[in-house]
Amino acid sequence: MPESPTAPSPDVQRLVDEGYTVSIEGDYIVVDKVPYVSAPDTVSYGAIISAYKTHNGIAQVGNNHTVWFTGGVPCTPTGQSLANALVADTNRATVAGRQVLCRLSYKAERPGMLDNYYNKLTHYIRKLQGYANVIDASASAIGNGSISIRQKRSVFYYPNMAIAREGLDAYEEKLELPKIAIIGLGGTGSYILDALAKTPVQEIHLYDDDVIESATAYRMPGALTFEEAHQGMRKAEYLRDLYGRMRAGIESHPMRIDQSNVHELDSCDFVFIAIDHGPSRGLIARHLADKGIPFIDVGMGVDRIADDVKLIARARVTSIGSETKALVDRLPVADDQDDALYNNIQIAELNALNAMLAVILYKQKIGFYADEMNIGDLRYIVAWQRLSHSALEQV
Amino acid sequence: MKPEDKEFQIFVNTKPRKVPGPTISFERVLQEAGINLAGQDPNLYDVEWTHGNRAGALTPGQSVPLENGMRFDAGKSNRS
Repeated sequence: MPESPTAPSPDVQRLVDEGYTVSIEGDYIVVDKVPYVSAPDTVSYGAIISAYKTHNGIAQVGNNHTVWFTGGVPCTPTGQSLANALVADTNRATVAGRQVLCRLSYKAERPGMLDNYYNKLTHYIRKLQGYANVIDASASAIGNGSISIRQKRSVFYYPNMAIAREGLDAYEEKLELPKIAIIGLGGTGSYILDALAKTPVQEIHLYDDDVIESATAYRMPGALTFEEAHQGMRKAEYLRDLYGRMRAGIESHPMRIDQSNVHELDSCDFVFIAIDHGPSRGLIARHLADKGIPFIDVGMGVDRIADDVKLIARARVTSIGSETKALVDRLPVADDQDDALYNNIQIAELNALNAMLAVILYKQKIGFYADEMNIGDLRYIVAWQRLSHSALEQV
Repeated sequence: MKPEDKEFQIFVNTKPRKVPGPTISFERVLQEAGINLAGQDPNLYDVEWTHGNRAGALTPGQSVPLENGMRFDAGKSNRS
């Protein structure tokens, strides 16, 4: 369950009691108004930021020595750069909502620096302020003492601390779309959920009216128990409960999308279509294209080479946005009754591959991964182990 | 026989086929794959080709110049 906001832990309270200006911004702790030497005989002020983690209300520093600094690389009073002494890395980044100009890694000679956040942060403040005081003895990070706590509401029930530790929030934030729907929770749709659930999208809406049968269990990620595979649970509800163990915001809609309810998708920011039924694919795709909602349609096929007793198979991912509306007319929207082979042979690895290609392309379309080829359509042919794509201007 | 009408040796869904040049259409690839399009929506099918490092796709009505040894994949991609 999510941790509730609590009083600051004793080491953080000590910073406040001594007069520092402290704020806790989600997974970061910030001390503002830290004096440092920015140029010869010049004192400026910046904020020191550290990744911040608590366990049962007690702050946990871990083994991370580094902090970010919103000022430039600090200098000595005569203006000599401390870049080497402080092992400064000058990659600019956005951390805890602030522009940082450098990251410092200055290990203490004496032990105890990483015992708590008071020790870690005052270790850096003393170093920076010490040089500043040679120029101006009154320069000090100590003032009236204050704390502000802003809990960033996370959809996850336990944090991914690697993101805070590395200051990667600017990347992660791109994944924080308000609302995505997955239509169809067969093999491919359930693997799409598996990848999407681990991104901080606020809401994931699951649409499928099917119930789980034992064959289904051979297509889904993870391993279902005998009971789970046989008690007739709806796929949407089962998957909501399964992924609901790690995060909030998953909602199940055990129904088919048709003309009467397709408008439910109008508030989505992105949609994945992973269904078999061609006419439904056409209805949903045309509706989304008309509403200007970007979406990805996926599909695969498998055929027998009877005399060789081998299979050929292919997977397709089609991304449709405002510039590629014309692709809607190329989707397989006919009613296709011929499904005996696909329904009776289990190829979870192709479902998973089809799903992962779709999620990677989605992450390109929202700017998380680079998309140099401006890809509209992907095809993977198993017999050739070849992935080919059409760029948008070619389709 | 004109030189451009000569036969080409290709593979369709792994099987060797001899087809007349100089080009092959989406519909002919499906025919060589044993798929009868009569009464069916051609958009149900995908045709991809590869030859050496090159590859491409055909949509209904499109053709590609033939080369000996070209490989074609023809089938559906509508299952989830």
